[in-house]
Order: sequence, then structure tokens, then C-alpha cells
Amino acid sequence: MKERLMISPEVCTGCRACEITCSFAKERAFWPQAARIAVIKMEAEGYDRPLVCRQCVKPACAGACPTGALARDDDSGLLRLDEDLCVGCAVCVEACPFGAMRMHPERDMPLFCDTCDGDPACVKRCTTKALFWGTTADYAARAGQQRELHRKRWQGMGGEEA
Amino acid sequence: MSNKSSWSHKALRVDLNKRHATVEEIPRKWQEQYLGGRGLNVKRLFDEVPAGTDPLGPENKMFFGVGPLNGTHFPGQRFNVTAKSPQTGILGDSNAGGFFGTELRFAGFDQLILEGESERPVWLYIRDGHLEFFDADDLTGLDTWETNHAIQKRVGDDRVQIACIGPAAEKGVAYSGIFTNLVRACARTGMGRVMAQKKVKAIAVRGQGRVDVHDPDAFSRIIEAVDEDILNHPDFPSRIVLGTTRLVTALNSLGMLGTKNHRTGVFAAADQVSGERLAREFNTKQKGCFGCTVPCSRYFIVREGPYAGLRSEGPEFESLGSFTSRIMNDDLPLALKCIDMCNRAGVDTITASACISFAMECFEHGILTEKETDGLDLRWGNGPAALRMLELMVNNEGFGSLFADGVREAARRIGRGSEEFAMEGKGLEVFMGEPRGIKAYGLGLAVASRGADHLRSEPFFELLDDPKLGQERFGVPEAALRMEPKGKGRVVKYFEDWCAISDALNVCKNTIVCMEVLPFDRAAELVAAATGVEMSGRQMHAVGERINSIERLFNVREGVRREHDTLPKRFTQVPLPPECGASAGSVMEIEPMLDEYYAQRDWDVKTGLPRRRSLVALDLEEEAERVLALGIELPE
Repeated sequence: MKERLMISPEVCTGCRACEITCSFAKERAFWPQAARIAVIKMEAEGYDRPLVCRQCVKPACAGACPTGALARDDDSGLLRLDEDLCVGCAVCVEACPFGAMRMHPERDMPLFCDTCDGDPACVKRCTTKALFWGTTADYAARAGQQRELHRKRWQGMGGEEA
Repeated sequence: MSNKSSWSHKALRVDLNKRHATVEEIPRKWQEQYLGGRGLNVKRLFDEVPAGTDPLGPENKMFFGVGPLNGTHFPGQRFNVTAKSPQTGILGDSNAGGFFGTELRFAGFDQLILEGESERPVWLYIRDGHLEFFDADDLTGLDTWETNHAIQKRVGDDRVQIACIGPAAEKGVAYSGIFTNLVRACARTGMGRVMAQKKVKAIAVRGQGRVDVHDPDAFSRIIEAVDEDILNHPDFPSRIVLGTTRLVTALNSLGMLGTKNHRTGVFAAADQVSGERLAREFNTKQKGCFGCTVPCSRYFIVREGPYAGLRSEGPEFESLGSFTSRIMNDDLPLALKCIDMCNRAGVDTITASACISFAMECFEHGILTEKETDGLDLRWGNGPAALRMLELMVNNEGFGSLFADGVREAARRIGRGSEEFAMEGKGLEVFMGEPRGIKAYGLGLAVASRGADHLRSEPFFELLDDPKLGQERFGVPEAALRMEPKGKGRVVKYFEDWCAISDALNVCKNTIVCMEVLPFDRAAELVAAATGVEMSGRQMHAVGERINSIERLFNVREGVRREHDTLPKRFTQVPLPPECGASAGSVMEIEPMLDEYYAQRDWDVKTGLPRRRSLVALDLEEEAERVLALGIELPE
């Protein structure tokens, strides 16, 4: 099973550190609008969720691309963009069922997560580990570890067993 | 390396009368001297709002500022709002976290200036360098949450950031704040009231721009070190679970949790209203401000009882203590309800609760009776009565309207000896710590430039209980001993300068000061990497001194002298009762502490006026001349 960028929205603080860190890693500028990840927030409900490319096996975005510029790379299994072929039509943005794709604010090309070659910059600055790198099988285990971590911190402060 | 800078060097000046806005270049020299945020705001306030200006007149101006770290990946970002305060009559200044300030920077501005007074209610929409005015008649009377939702819906972009006022400000409540992200408040000194007077209901901002720094490699290296320091700090685990609400238990165990209108420092029911209980029974997850790696805020849900269904973010320690120990309320969900009411109506929790605890003490002494309280039985700990009083206060009606200008004015109106129950300094109500047990904090309250507020100095150093460290850092062993008056002038002066840097950079004191992640040297390196302006740690410290000094000059012009730098007699004359353990028997020895403080700033000990030479040394000669021209003698 391949590794991918996984999300635990239940511990996402909505801080957008992932966005700002991503933009710096990819654009050398602090520029959330050009980040490859975006956090949606519903403040009144306390709901925060990062939206990011899910590396679909049959990507809807690539299927919609009229020029073949977007395709899955067979070696890495990652979605890749051939900038020479891209016509900047943004149909991929419309096609992504997760809303995880957006257009670059200045250049006519889509933005999507390339996983920083399997070592995502955003993961390193996500304090609560709402973002992590792993397989879907890890998901349940990671979420459990996260809860355990909080429980230990809590007890370390004299808190009772939850 | 580059000629890039994280400053945009741009201010947006809005003439509300003419519904017209202009973009101004901010002088480079000012940004080097004041950095931004609170610093640049007070420089403008001093220049543009002359002595004697009516805080509620069209001549008062509002300054919204951010600093050179806003928009970068520095963890935890804020913004400052500054104007002359309608609550205190002196410097008004307040800041909030969340996302608004950073969005203002992405929209292309370091500062926003509101001047004049709109004829009709308006809301402003700043979008990538441009400003639009919209009529706000249909928003009038909406609470902060409703306003937020209405504007978000209208703009149709959920990334828009909104700073707004609630109905309390519109109804004339002086201690009204400006709220963003629903619960994040520029709460203190009545900035929301000024905005209401200008008929500005809300400011919405959306910026899609980029922020570049001068030296990206150096900048990100320093941020990596900051991240490490935060993660490895011994406070980190408790801060991300409890935030500042951990202080209810911590201060109570030391006998210095402000309780019963500061009659004592111990609250018997502290366990029932503690941050730990809140985390255990109500919190669902952590929440953070922009880019923060120490998410100290929390989302909570009340699931049963009379307030079932109440869900919101927060609270922090001051609000929690405000509606529990201060009024002797042991019902945590009721306290959460009070805080929610403050947030939605748009008022300062500290001031609101200080008015209630004041009224309760008056009630105990028969100064107020049910005849005056609209029938409210204001005995200590009567939560439902407190909630009802709060409702009257935020609506500025009936008994509640007595308190519309804060506790100092309420005591003046009531008279009959009630003045001694008003826990304020220069018209601003004090925080939830007990100054008699933390004397640097006490001194900090007495001298703070925006009235008796703890966030002007936050001198946690005195709690370290390490005389050797006191000797090492301040040359006085007692500096690190909380019960000792000695050395505290030095500590407060140093921490005031540090806090000024934190506010001028518009980042968070929890990390900068309390977790010590950005001492002056590192702040100078970081600003150099961000802006290209090289300065030493000593020069960075001088920026803090300059900000504190120009704030003093602003207040001096409004009549502030040594006699105003004081605290209620309860703190200076009445010893803490025996149950306060290690803090028992203590009073604030204010006079010798003030002497030391003024000497540290090279201000005149007799009058509290800055000496001219101390101002010249900070490049404030011109400002000194302008004060002298008003006939105020600054001693040589």
C-alpha cells in the first residue's frame, strides 16, 4: 500500500501553518494563495480541515485534462504536470471531487501537492499531527497514537485518566 | 539576499466623511524606529491626535497595525488597534490574534488609518490593495457572530477576515472591543466604542498577495530554531492542552488568584472552574492563531444543563477567572455562558466582570440594594444574577447602564464609599492575578501605559524564585523573588520594553516573552533577515524603550503624572488574608518600587515626567519639543 499525505481533521487547529510552510517550500515566498494545501474552516462549528491532493489511482483531474498534461507518473505513482502541455484551462480544478486543486494566483497552471518527494514540508510544522505521512492502514493506528500522546501529556500534568 | 522586505511600506488612510481612501508610503525611518503594530500606531497617534481630543469626536483616529513578521511563517500572529480611549481618556491600545492582521498584510498594507466619522453606518472591504465602502444599515444591531456570517455570505469567500463590533458598542458601552474570528478580541480600552462612534460596523479584508523576506535562508533558519525552542519548552505540553486556563489552578495554589473582587487570593471552588476541568469535560480540540505551533486555544461544547448546546472557542485565563473566582461563581457552564455573551455583544470580559464584582461588594455593604439593582440579588456567587446583570450591562439598560463607562465611572456615580471597591488603575480594570503576591506584576499594572493592564509588562521572571538568576540578570537577587519589592523597577522596565517589541512585531507574548523564544538579539537578527534593516540587540531594546517613552509622552500630554501611577488601596494598604498561604500578609509597597522604575527609565522620580535627556537619547527630541511647547516642563 502506498504512502500518502493523510489528514486527521479532528485534531486540526485551523492555524494554516501548513499553507504558509508549503508556499515557502514551493515558491520561496510566504503566499497562502499559492500553497498546494488549503485549510477550510467553519469557525462557529470548530471545524477545520486541510484540503490536499489525495493521489487518486484514477485521478478525475487527469481524466478531465484535454491535453494529457496531467497524468499519474507510473514510477512514483504521483500526479505530475507537464507544464509544456498545460493550456491553463482549469478544468482539472473543476474536476477534482475533493476541491483539492486550485489555480496559481499569477501563472495559468494548476497547483496540487507533489508530496515534496515523500517528505512533505507541511507535516513538519503541524503541531498536532493533523497532517501525517503514511498509508491508509496507518491511519487508525496514528489517530490512536495521537490520542495516547494527549492522554500522557494530560496525566503528566496531574490530569486523571480520561 | 535581495532588496526585498517583509514590510509593504504602505498605509491605507480612510476618510470616513468623504468615503475616500488613499494609499500612503510609510517613512522607512519610522519603521526602523518603531517596527510596526503598536509601535508605529502610537507614533501616529502622538503625531495626529493632539492633547485634549475628544475620544468620541471625529478628530480621534484609529490605527490598525501589523509588523514585519505578519505574513511570514513566524508562529502566532496578531494585530494592534490604537486610538485615544473613551474608557480611560488616555492611550487606548489593544491587540488580538486570529487571522485578520495577517490578511491585512497579504492585502498589501502595514497599517490602516480611519479618520473622521461616517454619516451612515458602513462596513469596509479591503481587497488586494483596494477599498470599497458598503452601507451597513442592515448590519446594525447584529452581534459579532451574526455580523461575521452576514459579511462572509455577502462576500462569498470563506477566507475573508472580518474585524467587527457588536451591539454593545453601538449602544454606547465604553468597554466595547473589536472582534475577529468570532472570539478573538481587541478587548481592552474601548476601541470598539471608537469604531462605533465612527459608524464603522466592520472591516473585511482579503489578500491574495505574497510576502517576501530579505534573506529567506537566514529567516527560515531562525524560525527553525524558534520552533525547536517552543517544542522543547517545559510549558509546551500544558500550553497546548490548557492554554492560559492552567493559571486558575496554578495561581490559586500560590494564594494569588484574584477572588471576591480581590478581597482574597484563594478560591475554594477553583477545582470546579479550572482549566483542567474545562479540558476534561468540555474541550473537543485545540485551536490556533495564524501559523501557530503552540495552539493554546480550545474549542468547547457544553452538552448538558441549562446551557446545553453552547459551543465556542476559548476562553483564556482572564475571561475564565473573571466570571468565576472574581465573582465567587462555581458554576463553570454559567461562566462560559457569560463569556459567550461578552463575545457576541462585543465587550471586554475583564472590565465587565470587575463591574459585577464591584456591584456585589457594594451590595454586601448595603451601598447598593435591590431597589437600585432592578431587583437583582447580587450576593457573592449568585451566577444567574451576575448573568442577568451582564445582560443589562451589554444592552446599556436599567441598572446595567450605571456601568457603561467602566468601574471607575460607576463608583463616581454611586459614591458613598464605593470608590474603594473599584479595582482599576487609570480607569482600566485589573486582571485576575493578585498583585500583592506578584509585585512586579503589581508595579506593571501601576505604570502600564494603557491603564492597569498586565500585558504591558508580563514580568513572569519574578516567579522563577532563583536569587542567583536575579543577581545575574538584573543585579539584584530579589528581582526573581515575587514577594520582594526590590529589583522590580528593573524587571518591569525590561519586560515592558520586551512586550513593546512583541506588540510592535505583532506576534504573541506567550511565545516571545513567556517562553522566551525571541530575546532582543534574536529579534534583531530576525528583523534583519525579514527587512534588511541591520540592528544590534541593544538597538532592538531601544525600540522598546522608544515605544514606551512615546506612550508616556502621549499620556503626559493628557495629564498623567506620578500620582496616577498607582493601584487601589486594597492592594497597597490591606494585607492579603491568612488563607493565601505563602502570599499571606503581603501588601504592594508601591512607592519605593515606583522610585526604582522611574530611575531605570531616567524619568523624574518626583513627577514621573520623562527627562528631556532620556528622550533625546531615544531620538525623541522633536516629540519632547512638542510637549514642551504645550507648557509642560520636562525636567533636565
